[in-house]
Amino acid sequence: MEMADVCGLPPLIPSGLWSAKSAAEKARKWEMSQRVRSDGLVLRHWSPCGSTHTTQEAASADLSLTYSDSEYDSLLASPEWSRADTDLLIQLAQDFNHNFIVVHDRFESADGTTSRSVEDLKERYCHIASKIIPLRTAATGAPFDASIFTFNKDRETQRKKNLEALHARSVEAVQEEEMLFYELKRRELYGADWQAERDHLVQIMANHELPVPMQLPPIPGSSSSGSTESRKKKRAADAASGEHTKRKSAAVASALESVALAKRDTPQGVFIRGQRLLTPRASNLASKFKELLEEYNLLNPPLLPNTTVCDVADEVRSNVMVLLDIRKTVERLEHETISLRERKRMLLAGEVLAGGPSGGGAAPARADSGSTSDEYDEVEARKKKKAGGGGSGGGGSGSGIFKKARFH
Amino acid sequence: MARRLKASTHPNATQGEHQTNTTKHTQNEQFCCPIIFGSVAGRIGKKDPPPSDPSHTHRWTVFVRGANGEDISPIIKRVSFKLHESFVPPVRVIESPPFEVTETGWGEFEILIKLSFADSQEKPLPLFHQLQLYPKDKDPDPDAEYAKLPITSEHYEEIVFNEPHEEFIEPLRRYRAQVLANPGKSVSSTFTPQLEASETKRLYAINDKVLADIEKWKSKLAAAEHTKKRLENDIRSLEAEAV
Repeated sequence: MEMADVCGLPPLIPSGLWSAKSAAEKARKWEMSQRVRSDGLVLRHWSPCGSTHTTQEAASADLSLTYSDSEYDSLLASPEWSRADTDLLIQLAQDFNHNFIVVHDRFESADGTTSRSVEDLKERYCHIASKIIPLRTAATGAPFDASIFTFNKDRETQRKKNLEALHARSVEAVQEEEMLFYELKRRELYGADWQAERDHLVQIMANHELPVPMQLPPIPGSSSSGSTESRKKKRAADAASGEHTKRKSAAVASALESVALAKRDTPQGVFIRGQRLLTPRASNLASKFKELLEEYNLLNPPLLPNTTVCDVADEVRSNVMVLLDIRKTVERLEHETISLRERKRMLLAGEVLAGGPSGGGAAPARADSGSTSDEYDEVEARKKKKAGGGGSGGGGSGSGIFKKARFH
Repeated sequence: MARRLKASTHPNATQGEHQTNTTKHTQNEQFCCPIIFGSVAGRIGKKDPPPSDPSHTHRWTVFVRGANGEDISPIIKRVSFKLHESFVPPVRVIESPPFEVTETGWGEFEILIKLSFADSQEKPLPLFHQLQLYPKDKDPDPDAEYAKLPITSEHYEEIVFNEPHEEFIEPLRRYRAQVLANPGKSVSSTFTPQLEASETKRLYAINDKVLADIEKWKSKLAAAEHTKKRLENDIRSLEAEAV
C-alpha cells in the first residue's frame, strides 16, 4: 500500500514478508454448512467453524429492498438515476444474489445510452440499502450494521485501475522496479552505517593527527631519551600550543575508536612489546591491512622494538589504518557512483522513450563510459529545452516506464 | 600474537612457588625487561673438538639474555628451546642462567623459544628464532675467508609487565634496582641508540609517505563524493522534471 502511494502503482513484490509466526498459527477448523433457500434449494458449502459469515451472507441473500413511491421521492431520488433504472438494479441484484458482475452484465439502462460501471451499480445499491434498511429495522428493533453498506467508489475504481496498470506493465518495468526495490532495501539496511562511517571519516580527516602515545615509566638501561626530543619537536611544530594538541588528540582518540587501536588499552599481565603493534580489530580488515603494510615495507617488525620505535611504528600503522579506511570508502563511493550512473542512464533513456517525437533528436541512452561533465550538460540542456519550448510534450510523457518506476 | 587470558587459567598455576589463588593486580605499575635472543654459529675447525656426528659442520649456540648483560633469572624462571625434530631430545628446558643451548649441526631451522616467568600465574610467551649458520646473500663456500667468521643473528625484544600481580612486584623491583645499580654495557653491538635513531628515521620516512598518500586519497575521496552528489542531484532533477 505504501508503495502504491509513492509510485502511483502497487508493487509486484509483496512488501510484507512471510513470517514464521503466521505459519506457526494453528489451522482453523472448517465445517460443512448448509443453507436452504426460500425456493427450497439446499446449498452446502465449507465455512470456518463458528463463523457468522454464513448467516450474514444468508441475511444479505434474503435481503429484499422495497420502497414505496413516496420513499423513493423523498430519500432515493437522484439526478443520475431514473426510477426505472433503480428498479431494474434492485430486481437484478435480487435475482442474481447480489453478484454485481452478473448484474452489470445484464443491466441495460432504460434510455439505452447511459453506461454504468460495476462500481456505479454497487454505489447506487449501497446507497439505497443504507437508506431503506434503517427504516425497516427501526420498526423491529433489530440492529443495523451500516458498515456493510458503505462503499467507497473512488477507492474501488483506483484499485481496479492499479491492478490493470500492474497487469499491463512491461517486463523492463518489472525488472526495474525489482532493482529499485532491492536498492531501497539495501539503503534502508545500510544507510545508517554508511552515514556513520562517513561522519567518522570526516572527523578523522578533519584532524587526523594521532593521540600522543602513552608515556611509559622510564625503563632502566634503555636509551630512549634521545629521539623523544625530536618527536616532541615534531609535535610542537604540528600544534601551536600543547594544550591544543591534548584537546585535539582526545577528540581524535575517540574518533579513532572504530579504527580499532588495539594497543591503547594495555591489558594486565606480561607481553612482548614488539608483538603488540597496532592491528585492526575487525578481522575482515586484517588481510587488506597486511597488504598495505607490505606496500609500505612495514611487514617486518622493527629491528629495535623499544618504546620509542614501537610508538613510531604504531603511529605509522594507525596512519595506514586511516588510509585503509579512506581507500575503502572511496571504493564504496565508486561502486555507488556506478549504480547511480546506471540509474541516470535509465532515467534519460526512459524520458527519451516517453518524450516521443520531440525527444527524437536527443542522444539515445548513453553508455556509462560517458564522462560526467557530458551527462551534466545533457541534463542542463534538457532543463533549458523544457523551460523554453513550453509544455508541449510534457503532459503526454507521464506514462513512460520511467514514471512508473519513480520512487522518491 | 597470543593475547593472554586471565592468569588464573594458566595450567602451570599450581606448580609455581606462588600457590595462593590471589590474582590481584597492582595498579599503575609497569616494568620492562629488555632481552636479546638469537644464535651464534661457527664452523667446526680442525683444532676444535670433533662433533658427535661427522656430518655436522657447525657448532652453534641459541640464547636468551638480558639486553645489557643483567641477570634475568629473578624474572624468567625457565626457558625452553624447541629444536628440530632430529635432535635428541628436541626440547631443551633450561632452568637457570645462562639460558642457552649449544649444539652441532649442518642445517638451519626455526627454533621456538618459550619464556616462563617467575610469576607462575603468567602464561609462557613464545619467541621465534631462525637459526642462521651461513652468511646471507653469499656463496656458501666453506673455504672463503668470511665463512670462518662466526655468524650472529639476534633480536631485541622488551618484555613488558603491565600491572603485575602483587606477589611478583618485589622480584621486579629488585630486578630494576639491580639494573639501576650496575648500568651494564650493552652485550650487543647491534642494538644501540644509533639503531634506534635509524629505525625511527626510517619509520618517519615511511610515515611521511603514508601521510602524503592519505592526502592523495583524501582528494580522491572528495572527488568521488562530488561526483556522487552531482549524480544524485541530476537524478533528482530528472525525476522532478518527469512528474
